[in-house]
Amino acid sequence: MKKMTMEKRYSLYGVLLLLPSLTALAFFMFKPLLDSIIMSFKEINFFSGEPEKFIGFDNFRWLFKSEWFVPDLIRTFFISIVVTVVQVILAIMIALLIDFEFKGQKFWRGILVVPWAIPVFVASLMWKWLYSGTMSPFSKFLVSIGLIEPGESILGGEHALFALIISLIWHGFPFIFLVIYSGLQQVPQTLIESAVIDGANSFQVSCKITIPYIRKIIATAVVLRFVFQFNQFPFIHLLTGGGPLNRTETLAIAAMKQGVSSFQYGRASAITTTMFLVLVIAFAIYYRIAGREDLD
Amino acid sequence: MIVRNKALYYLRIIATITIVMIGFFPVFWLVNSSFKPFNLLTNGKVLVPISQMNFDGYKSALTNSSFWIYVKNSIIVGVISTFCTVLLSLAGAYSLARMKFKGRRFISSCILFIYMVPPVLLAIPIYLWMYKLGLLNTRAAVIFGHIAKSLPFAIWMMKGFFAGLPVDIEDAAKIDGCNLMQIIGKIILPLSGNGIVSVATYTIIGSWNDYIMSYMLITKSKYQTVPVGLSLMFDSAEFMDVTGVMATSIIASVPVIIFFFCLQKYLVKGVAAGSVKE
Repeated sequence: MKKMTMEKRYSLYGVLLLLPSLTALAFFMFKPLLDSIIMSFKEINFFSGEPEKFIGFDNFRWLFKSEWFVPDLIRTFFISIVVTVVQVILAIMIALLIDFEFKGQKFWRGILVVPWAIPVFVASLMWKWLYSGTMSPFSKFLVSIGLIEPGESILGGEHALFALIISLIWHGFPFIFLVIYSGLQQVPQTLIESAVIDGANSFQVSCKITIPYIRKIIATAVVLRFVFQFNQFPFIHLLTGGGPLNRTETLAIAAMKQGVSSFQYGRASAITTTMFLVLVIAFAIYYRIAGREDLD
Repeated sequence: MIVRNKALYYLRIIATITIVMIGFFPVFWLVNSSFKPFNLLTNGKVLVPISQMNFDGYKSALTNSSFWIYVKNSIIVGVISTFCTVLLSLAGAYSLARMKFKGRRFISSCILFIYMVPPVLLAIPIYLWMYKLGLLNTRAAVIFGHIAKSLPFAIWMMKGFFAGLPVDIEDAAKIDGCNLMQIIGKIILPLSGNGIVSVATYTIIGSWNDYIMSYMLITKSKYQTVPVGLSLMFDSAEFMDVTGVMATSIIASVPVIIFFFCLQKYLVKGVAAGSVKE
């Protein structure tokens, strides 16, 4: 060992150190991923206990031919894009607004973060009640503008998707806010001050200096949020279950339906593998266009 | 933003508080409703007159024995999976950030792609795997699932932290003859306190709030965690004990919210660090 140069020794250490955590990563992530991809090529009926059959691309053929696939795919994209765009824009605006010194700033910032801290189940339950026709403080107002019938829930009608998106935005907003806000803290005061001296007002400073300075962080936030929302399952499942009449169904929900209700693990895996591929392709395109700034 | 005069300053404070309160309103409504006697639940008004405040919901929540079992399970699972995730992400991120070896760039780029793996995708094979190992309905399985969910982001965050630490200190230590273990113990660990807290915060909140792993892996109430447990309680209590369910939900949320309040600084630092590229 002593004959190795220091560099080589550290390289070896690097591998040794990395090995347990890489093994763990492999175990925790790569293996299930691989298993899932393999399973998408098999027919697996967990309930009936039949042996797994290798059926090649049949699951995918079934998937792409299903009449719900394209609507679900579009809907998943739509939800992800809307939620991401609204959350990021709101986060930028509110972070800029709130980024100044006043008594209790930390406290109010903390309150802003509460929606994310609330467990998914509680949040979805809360919104269920808020959207219901009976318990919600808004129900009288909504009935009066003709959005719902008395006693009904918004979630049972044609505006369910809209309601879902609002709840999703509310729930996930704090995380994006934190990302953007922390980015704002890194903007050097000197830069801002020199702009002020040159005569810029607050609005110009924000638009022309602050926002461009944090554009990497904004891009990171967009990527993180889009991916997270695309794959999101619990909140949607608990709020609408994909209903009414599948009008709020996303690919993740469809996959779980196949898995949990029909025990068709092969088909479910085909859906999730497709989801993963869609994301990978989408971001390959994104990075090609936007430049490889965000990757290491 | 720069503030030029007092009027704008106060206006800004008012605007801030207003916006925050609007966002907070749903939670406020929930807390309020949990104190309502049952007959007032549907009156469509928000505030509860103090004289009519009713603690029945909380009484039934606190005496519900299955709820405390769920809490116990969530705590066990949360602490263990956080501990493991922090250790693993420390080791992995340090190697990726500092060591030079073949394949390092590849694995680095992979991290973001791993984040794109839907938890739904992970859930099914993990379920089958646990089934074959006979580990279904154990806390170990859920711990496993939680680590799988949190590890990629944890490594990403930790790596960002290490990228921000100046290499000079370590180089000086190397020249002085420290071996790797000493460097890690005496220099890296103390300096990465922030990173560790960030990763731990992120992981434990994710674990406490996780729904999908517990949903898939545990069917026996005895080992269930809080999120799925709450939904079980709700299903069985549906029309009778709404305030009870509300109260239980609020109690379940309190630890996380407190955690958040105290540790939001670290979360912010963690994500910022993760976004920094060399």
